[in-house]
Amino acid sequence: MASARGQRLEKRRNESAEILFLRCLSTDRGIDDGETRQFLAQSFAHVGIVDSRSYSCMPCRERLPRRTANSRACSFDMKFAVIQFPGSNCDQDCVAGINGIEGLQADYVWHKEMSLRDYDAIVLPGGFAYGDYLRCGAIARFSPIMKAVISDARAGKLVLGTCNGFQVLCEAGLLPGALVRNRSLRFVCEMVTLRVEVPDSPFTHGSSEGTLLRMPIAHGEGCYFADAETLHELNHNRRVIMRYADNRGRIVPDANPNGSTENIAGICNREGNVFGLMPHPDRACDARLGSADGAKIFQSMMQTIQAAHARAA
Amino acid sequence: MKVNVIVKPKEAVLDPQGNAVRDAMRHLGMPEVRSVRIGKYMEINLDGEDVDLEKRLHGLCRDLLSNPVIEDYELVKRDGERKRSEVGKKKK
Repeated sequence: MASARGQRLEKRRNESAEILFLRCLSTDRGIDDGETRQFLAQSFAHVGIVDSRSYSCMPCRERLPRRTANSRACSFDMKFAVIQFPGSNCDQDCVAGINGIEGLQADYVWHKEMSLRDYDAIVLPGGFAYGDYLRCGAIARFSPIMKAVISDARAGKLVLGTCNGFQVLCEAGLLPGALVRNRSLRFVCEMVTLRVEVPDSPFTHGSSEGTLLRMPIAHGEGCYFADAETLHELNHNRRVIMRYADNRGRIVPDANPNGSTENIAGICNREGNVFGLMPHPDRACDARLGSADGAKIFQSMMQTIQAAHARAA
Repeated sequence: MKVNVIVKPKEAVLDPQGNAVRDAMRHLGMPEVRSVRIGKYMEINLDGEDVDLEKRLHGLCRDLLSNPVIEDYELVKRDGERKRSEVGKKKK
């Protein structure tokens, strides 16, 4: 009896904390007094949402500056750049997802910036850069920052493109093929199952071949197309990192949400350091959002960079 | 110089939009329709009319206006006379 009552009280306490948290988010001030901060930090400690790093970047006004270095970040935190194009709309999801992982810190980088020297990895978020005018990613690839993205990618830095970011990487020529209108002609927005085809890539450490990941997709132009020669090359060199699968891990047409050739959901470049995928790992970093599998990709990137640092040291 | 640029999906690329329109046309009493391909049409006005300008324009047709992986383009003089139509076959 007592424990049931305790659970109820605990639940109510969490609910009220959540409401308080939402109220803080909805005001321009954010969380600005120490007591509220402490209360929220305690209330959310068990889910790890409000930790010393992520709540400091939650208030709206603090989130907006394009390239504010997070003052609370420890010097040994790995830094990820999340590029903001005009029309990006998953930049905040990416930053929140990355900041939720211990040891990682994400900054917004406006597309007019010219250098990404200070960052260990680059993330091109989802959205509709330049309104998807002409073709998805066609104009974004000419943004000033893309010169730095391309040169850093060629130098071996890890680059992750999700959704619109994948389209930009294809348009920029960092990844082969292109993403065209969904076969259904519909915008698809749903949870999908992905089968990991290459478990030893820098983005899929810790999974084995055939591991199933759950992530949401949300796109109108996500049908992967490449000519036969390119497809052969991709398959032959194990560059197809993930495919759409059914919940038993079978690669079947029914599991293909957009008509992608061979159910391809994500591919990497020849060197393996540039990875693009249509699903949103950034929207799957918390079990309360339906899946935390997306965090595995960011964690895997972190491990890869750590290993590279260790080798260099 | 006034030019039109026509961008259309390559033969090998599935064009679901074109297929949907084809089906609608058949449905509306035109069973003769064999296929429909949907592309983009751009009208461009430029100052000048030299060979270099046209060469640069072709460059942008390949880099920006079309994606050679999935699309072909045609550059047509606005007055109707086809000025060197070129099919972007080169890969990026």
